[in-house]
Amino acid sequence: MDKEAVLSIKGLNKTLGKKHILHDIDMQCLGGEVFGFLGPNGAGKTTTIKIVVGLLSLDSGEISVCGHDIIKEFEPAMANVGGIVENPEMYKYLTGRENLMQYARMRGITDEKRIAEVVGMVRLSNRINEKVSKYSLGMRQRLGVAQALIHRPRLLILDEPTNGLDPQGIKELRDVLKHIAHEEGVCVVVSSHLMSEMELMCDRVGIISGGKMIGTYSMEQLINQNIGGMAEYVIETDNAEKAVSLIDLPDTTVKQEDGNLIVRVPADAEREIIAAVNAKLVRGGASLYTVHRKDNKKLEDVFITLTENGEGDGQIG
Amino acid sequence: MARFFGLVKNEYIKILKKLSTKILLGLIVISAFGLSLIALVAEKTSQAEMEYFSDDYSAVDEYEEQISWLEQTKPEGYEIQIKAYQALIDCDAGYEDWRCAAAEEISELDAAQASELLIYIKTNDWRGYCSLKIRTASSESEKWGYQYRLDHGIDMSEKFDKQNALIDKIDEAKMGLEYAGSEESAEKSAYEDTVTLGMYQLENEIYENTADMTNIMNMDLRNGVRFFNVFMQTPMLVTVISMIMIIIAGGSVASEFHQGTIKFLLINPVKRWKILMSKYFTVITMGYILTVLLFVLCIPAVGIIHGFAGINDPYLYVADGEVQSMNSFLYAVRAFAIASVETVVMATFAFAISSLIRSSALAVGAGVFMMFAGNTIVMVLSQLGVDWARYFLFANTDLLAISQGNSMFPQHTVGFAVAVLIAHMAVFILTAWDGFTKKSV
Repeated sequence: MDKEAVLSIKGLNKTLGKKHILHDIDMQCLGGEVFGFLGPNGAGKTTTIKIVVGLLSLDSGEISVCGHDIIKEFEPAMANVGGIVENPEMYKYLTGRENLMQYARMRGITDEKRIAEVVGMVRLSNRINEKVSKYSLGMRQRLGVAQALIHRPRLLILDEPTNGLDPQGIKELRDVLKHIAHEEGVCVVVSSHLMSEMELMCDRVGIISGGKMIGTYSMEQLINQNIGGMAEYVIETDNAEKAVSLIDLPDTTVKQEDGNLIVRVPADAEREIIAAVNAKLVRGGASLYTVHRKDNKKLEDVFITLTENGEGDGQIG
Repeated sequence: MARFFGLVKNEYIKILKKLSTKILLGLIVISAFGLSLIALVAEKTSQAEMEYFSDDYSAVDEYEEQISWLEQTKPEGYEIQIKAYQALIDCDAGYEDWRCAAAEEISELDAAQASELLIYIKTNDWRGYCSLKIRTASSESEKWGYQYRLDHGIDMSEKFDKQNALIDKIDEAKMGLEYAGSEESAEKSAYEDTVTLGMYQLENEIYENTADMTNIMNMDLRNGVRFFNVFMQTPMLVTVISMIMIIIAGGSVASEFHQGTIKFLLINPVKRWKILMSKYFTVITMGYILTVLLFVLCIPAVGIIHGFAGINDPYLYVADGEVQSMNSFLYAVRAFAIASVETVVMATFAFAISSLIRSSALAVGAGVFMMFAGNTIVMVLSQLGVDWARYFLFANTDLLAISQGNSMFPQHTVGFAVAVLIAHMAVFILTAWDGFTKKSV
């Protein structure tokens, strides 16, 4: 699978009125990945997305989609973009199919088969000839995805797609998005303020707070990146009290909890250190039953810590 | 280009699938049949009035009253007048009979002529009456009509009603010409044209000219309603199309914002100005399609209710001293086309407001207000002598009146009006363009 950058944002700035909404945003999203665009409410996610899809103008910076600058080469750039911004608003008095036909015509697609294909992909085949006014929010969301996919875009941008969906709907959407990213090589960018959703869906996340990019991380990096770069292990032994006294390594803290040992070690050398800890316990005569790595920090906490540390002013407009 | 027509097709689908559009289209059907029904009511009402006159207050009663009045007051030569009225009663002559008019004239004649006239009345001798009128005429124009009747054997009875009406009309115009003197004037050339046209009609035996039917008030109910009496009124229904197009144009851009669908529209690989132009193109073409539909619909709407009598009547007019004959439908098409100028202007205005302010309600409200108040404002200003009001949009929308010289402003030409209209339209379109392409969503 090719992993070239489909969406590239460099030095993006945007001022709305007197508010400086976006400060030097840099972001690269690759083909074949689900990229989570994460930030608290008002961090500038929707503004960034609106600029990328051409709904808002930018003050400075460069954005290109598949190598086409979105300002100088608007039409070729947008030909590679599909998306839903904010809510999936459709013409409610038209049927699902009529709505799709609207977008198909705008993009010069006349192939009925392609329409049937995207409808099948979002599992709307049995309801597609009903008026959109009869659809649930989840169905509208899926119709929105179908609309965004109809022209086989290389970049699919969805703004808060799980808003208002029930758990089943979220799972279905997740499966669809993963499928088109991993199987069809599309770059899927999903914005959200809920880390828990991103965790299951995304390959990488970019975190924005207060209009500034805090960083781009792979899921693994994010999981490992707990506070102070520490990893936590739970060790079950026959005698916890004795075991505590056995461990006296630098940068490592030990405490007792429910008869188990909780050991915190620096994340950058966790394997080596935990091996040393185990060795010390065994050598000291403690019976070692199990050692397992605790998913010590919920990603949600990581996210909150990151965005709080970021600027401390995550509240913009 | 194919993509552009795809956009236009999208717009048509969006407009036509709306329930409100279907109701508005129903309005066109209602208005076409409505006008026809109103004309029917007008016809029945005036017929009823005419019957009221003839039933309750017959000509004979009137003559008897005249006789008793003459017997009481005894003016000079009253005896022969009484005899004349008595003759009318004996032959049961109605108001429309030439003898009725002749009896009125008897008091103006000297004794010998009066007794001669009395004989003509008693014997129903219209030729004698005509020769008497020629002898007693004070001017050439007065003689002409009677001479023409004698020359062409046009009986003054009801049988030749239409010819007589035409002769009277020409007579009147000839009289006007005589009074007008030798100086050239618009009035004089109008009289000349009336004479030319009337003579043409007499010679070619064309007694129905749809040009006389453009005003429903001039309807000659004695002969029954002819097709074009009503059909010539239908161009006024284009106002209904104007209203509908204001509503559609006013919602065209604004509703996308209102529904939130604008975001879906604009994230497509189509430049904003193309989307805007596809919407404008849709509004204008739809306006014309509806106008054509209205025209076509009016033909059965009028025909079913009033019948198709006189559907081949020509539209006759005089240009450069020559009588021109035009198919009346062609004239109606022209009237519709001129009326549609207002539709285009008002739809463009509402479209601009819709794009600029993004509120359908405001765009429709402003459009309707302009349509109804605009003309009044310009009229008030023109009557106050504010000459620069001629640069206002509404001083220029009624191209028909301007081309006929019926403008509220002096020396108002069609060229000037078209220039003002184009300037306004350009401002509207640029406003819409700017409002749509520059602003953020």
